[in-house]
Amino acid sequence: MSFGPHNGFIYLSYGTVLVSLSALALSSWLKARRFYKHNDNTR
Amino acid sequence: MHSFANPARFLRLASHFLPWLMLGFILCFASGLYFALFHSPPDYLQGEMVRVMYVHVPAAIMAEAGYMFLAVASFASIIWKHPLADVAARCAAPIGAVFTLICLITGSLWGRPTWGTYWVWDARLTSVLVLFFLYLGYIALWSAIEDEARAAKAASILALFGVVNIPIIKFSVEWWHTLHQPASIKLVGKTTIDPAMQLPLLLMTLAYGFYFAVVLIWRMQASIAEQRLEARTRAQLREVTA
Repeated sequence: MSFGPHNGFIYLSYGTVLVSLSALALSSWLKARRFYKHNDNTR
Repeated sequence: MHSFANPARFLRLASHFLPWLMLGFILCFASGLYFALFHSPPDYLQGEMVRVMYVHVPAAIMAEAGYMFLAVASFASIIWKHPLADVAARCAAPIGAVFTLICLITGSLWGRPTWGTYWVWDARLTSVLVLFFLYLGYIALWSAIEDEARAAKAASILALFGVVNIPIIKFSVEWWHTLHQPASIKLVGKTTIDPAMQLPLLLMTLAYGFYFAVVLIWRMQASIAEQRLEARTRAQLREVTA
């Protein structure tokens, strides 16, 4: 997949989005696991 | 509205909606990426660089919408003392900060080939940077004050003062001469973007919106669980010491 002379800028932009959204989602989901564990313990 | 402030009711509703929000995100994000990278045409002036718009503009929208959410939750926290409002505002701040950072980085990467510079201190860029610092300040205030009630009050006041920055961001391109272009999509008036470019823009905005909701629910679930665990530990300690 090539976008001509500005390939790098486009890849960097989409890469920034994917990396930052994935990192935030993963850290939030790992935190949320505490909720599910807590719910299991109180059942 | 008060009935939704009950954490137990919120958790029940959130668990019900969470899979649908996740499905919405996956569908919109996958199709948005497809249309943005493969289907939409290059711009007559910017060429392929226009593809950065599909990740930059929705991030800017979410950065501002996230701050408005934070401000409304902070208002509810101060006025009605909703137990859930503080949790919602506190959990929304890091998500809004990440969207603002994405907006700044992608904007900078878009600016280099189109404007010839990564950064310029014009009104739009500077006011978005101020928005990022407002998010950081809000997060830092919560961490700096140990007493939760005082931290909530201080952070809420900061959030409400920061609202003044939102219209400045919105109208900065009209009030001052900026390098940043004026809005192309308008609620009132003619939109100047081709329909082939509007579709990926809409899909990515929806995807970011679903993402915001999913991650917010995860963070709120974790925060409520943490509060319950702390309350239970305190109760057990009281029983032991009694």
